[in-house]
Amino acid sequence: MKINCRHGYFIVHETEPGEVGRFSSVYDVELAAFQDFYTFPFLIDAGNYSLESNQYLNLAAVETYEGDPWEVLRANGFVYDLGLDLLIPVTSITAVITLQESDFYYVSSGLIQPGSLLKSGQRLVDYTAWFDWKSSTFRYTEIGFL
Amino acid sequence: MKMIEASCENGIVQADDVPVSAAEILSQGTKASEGMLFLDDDQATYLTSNAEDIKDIVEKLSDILDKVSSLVASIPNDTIFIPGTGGASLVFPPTFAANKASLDSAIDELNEMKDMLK
Repeated sequence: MKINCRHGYFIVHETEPGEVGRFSSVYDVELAAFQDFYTFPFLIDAGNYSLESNQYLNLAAVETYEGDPWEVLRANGFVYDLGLDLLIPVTSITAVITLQESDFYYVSSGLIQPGSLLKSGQRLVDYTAWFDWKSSTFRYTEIGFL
Repeated sequence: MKMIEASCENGIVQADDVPVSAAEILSQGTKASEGMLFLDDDQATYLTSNAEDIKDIVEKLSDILDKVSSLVASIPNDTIFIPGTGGASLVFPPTFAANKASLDSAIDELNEMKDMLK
């Protein structure tokens, strides 16, 4: 299962048929089919534009911007909060994480909250993660910072 | 690019019930209008139809020309010409002043229209 996080917007693709359903039942995570991928149900209503001061999902937009939902999130400085199931300003995230290196990727037992800080002060907002069923871990192959 | 319905009055564009301060207005934006807001990345552009403005101006110009015609027609052939020491003067018929005032009023309205375009 490939999980692409783009500035807090999640795009999930199956690498094996039925993988998302299996993942959802094992980890009690709800993912919904949308366009040609899966995502968190809350994000399905994320529009492709925002108007300053107008509501964008649960937050008032701070920028007038048109683009893909992840571009709108980036323009407004919002990310999806995995725990709250809501959008939050990326600057409100103060959690500091450590990326565990392994061969040619990073490993984590859970999905990284987009917007998390590294010790270096860099804010992680983009990544590609692959779920490994054998080890029940996520392998991060691409990461991007704010 | 995204296109959404919008309105504009006194230079303020509204879409989805909020003012869009970032919007560039391609027309004058003074008179109340309905139009479309074009969004492209961080660019917002408001566009309305000026067809109604043009129609109003043409109607007003037509009205002015009618009044000019009436004014000219109100000067009969027997308009009195009085030579005087300070130069010649004309004595117009009684309807002339009213027709002239009506023409001036129409010209004023046309001038006001240029500041009240959509």
